[in-house]
Amino acid sequence: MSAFGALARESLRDAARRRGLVVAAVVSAIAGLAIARCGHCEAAVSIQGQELSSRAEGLGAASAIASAALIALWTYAVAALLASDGLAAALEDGVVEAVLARPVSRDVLALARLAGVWLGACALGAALFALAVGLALDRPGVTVLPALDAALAIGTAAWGVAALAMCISLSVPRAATLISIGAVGIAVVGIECAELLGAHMAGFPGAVAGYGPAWLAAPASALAPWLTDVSLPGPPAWPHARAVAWAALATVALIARFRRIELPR
Amino acid sequence: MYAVEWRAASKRYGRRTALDALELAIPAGTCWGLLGPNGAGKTTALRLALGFARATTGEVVLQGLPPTQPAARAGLGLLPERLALPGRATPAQWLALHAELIGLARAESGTAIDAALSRTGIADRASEPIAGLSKGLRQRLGFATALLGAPALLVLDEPGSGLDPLGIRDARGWIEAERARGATVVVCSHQLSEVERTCDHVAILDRGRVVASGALHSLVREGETLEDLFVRAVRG
Repeated sequence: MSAFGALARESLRDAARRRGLVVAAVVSAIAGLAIARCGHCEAAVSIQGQELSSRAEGLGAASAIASAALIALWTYAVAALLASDGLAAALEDGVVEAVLARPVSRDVLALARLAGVWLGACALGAALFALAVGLALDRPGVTVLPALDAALAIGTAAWGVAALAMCISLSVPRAATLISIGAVGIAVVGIECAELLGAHMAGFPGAVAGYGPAWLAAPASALAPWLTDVSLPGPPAWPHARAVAWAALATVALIARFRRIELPR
Repeated sequence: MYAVEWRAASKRYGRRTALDALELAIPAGTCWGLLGPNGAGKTTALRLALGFARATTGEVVLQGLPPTQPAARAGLGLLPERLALPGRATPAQWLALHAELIGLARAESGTAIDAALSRTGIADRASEPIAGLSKGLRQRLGFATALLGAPALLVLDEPGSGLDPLGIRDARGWIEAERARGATVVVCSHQLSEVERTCDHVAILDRGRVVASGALHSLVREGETLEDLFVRAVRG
């Protein structure tokens, strides 16, 4: 456990030294300022001097959910960015050899590198998410518990995204890793978004919507209680279960791939 | 008890055979020089011994265990030929990570790191980024990493690489001190004169096979040097 902690901390420090985490932190801070300045806006819809309060309430919660979804996507992007060279770069520069000459298993090393970049991405995502939720709490229907549930879902999904990116990075260069994970992300999020908006899909898109990684569906279903007049399809725990299952699958794939690599590359 | 054993270990990369049924056993507490011309299989033999690669056939045993098991690498100090150090970290940070990986308690890790830094002559550069260190100082840091925590088995691949004459002299002293402490030392090098001065056993590899191995005094004939033995063994 001590080796895991040391390697996870080193992975986080490494991400900061490579400046990826620093760039992501600066962009997050700018996004945070934007949320602080604009996230408190209230929809003021009125007709002939009469405010449409019920419609405005729905808009308030819906816009908070949209903010949360954007923060989730940002967290996944940072996780993929950091993970894409979290292990591959250490392999290329030989640091992995130096570590594996110690009594450390490959599984522990891969999981620790993954945990380090995941923590970095989640720390930035959590700060933005807390800010956005904090500012939205005075809106009708917006409460803390669903937000905590959504944060858990985003964290789980971010782990899966990072594991997938790290796994792909062991086979292809970093640019190809980012393009691949970006393409997969756009496809999955697009399909899930369409499904959340009420589209009925069959075939492959339907399978992704029903059994895919729920990168958007899991946090959205967690925040559904904020909307009183909307009900999402399927049991509420299903998107969470899918996010956990896909994160576990991506982790197993990463470990299996890393076990097969011969050093030095 | 053997520190490392290659039991008919072969390694093939496609059609190329890097190691051909290598049979070699290094007893604990001895100092061996692993020699051979370029491409003889020395580095491949070490990679198999450290668990970095798997033997195509045969097996390798490291400190009584398969090298892929983490416990086999307990008490191992490695100075690789391709010394890789994170340029943005400092020597102190790098050694602190290794102190944790080998399980040194927090109280003793500071003392061990200070001792390794001062022993290898880089204590005054401990807080500078590694990227700013010269090749010789990096090699010294490589030694500090390998020597950290008094390893039972020290594997040194081209230990003199990048070192100036003073550094080579210091390195010889560190190896002799480790031998005197009872550690097993495996030196992989092309600097035959250094191997002759530090090792009591040698194994000469050629085309993936051992062509000569044993105690240096029993292999080198009267009036011969290690270089003569090397040429005789490799050229036949």
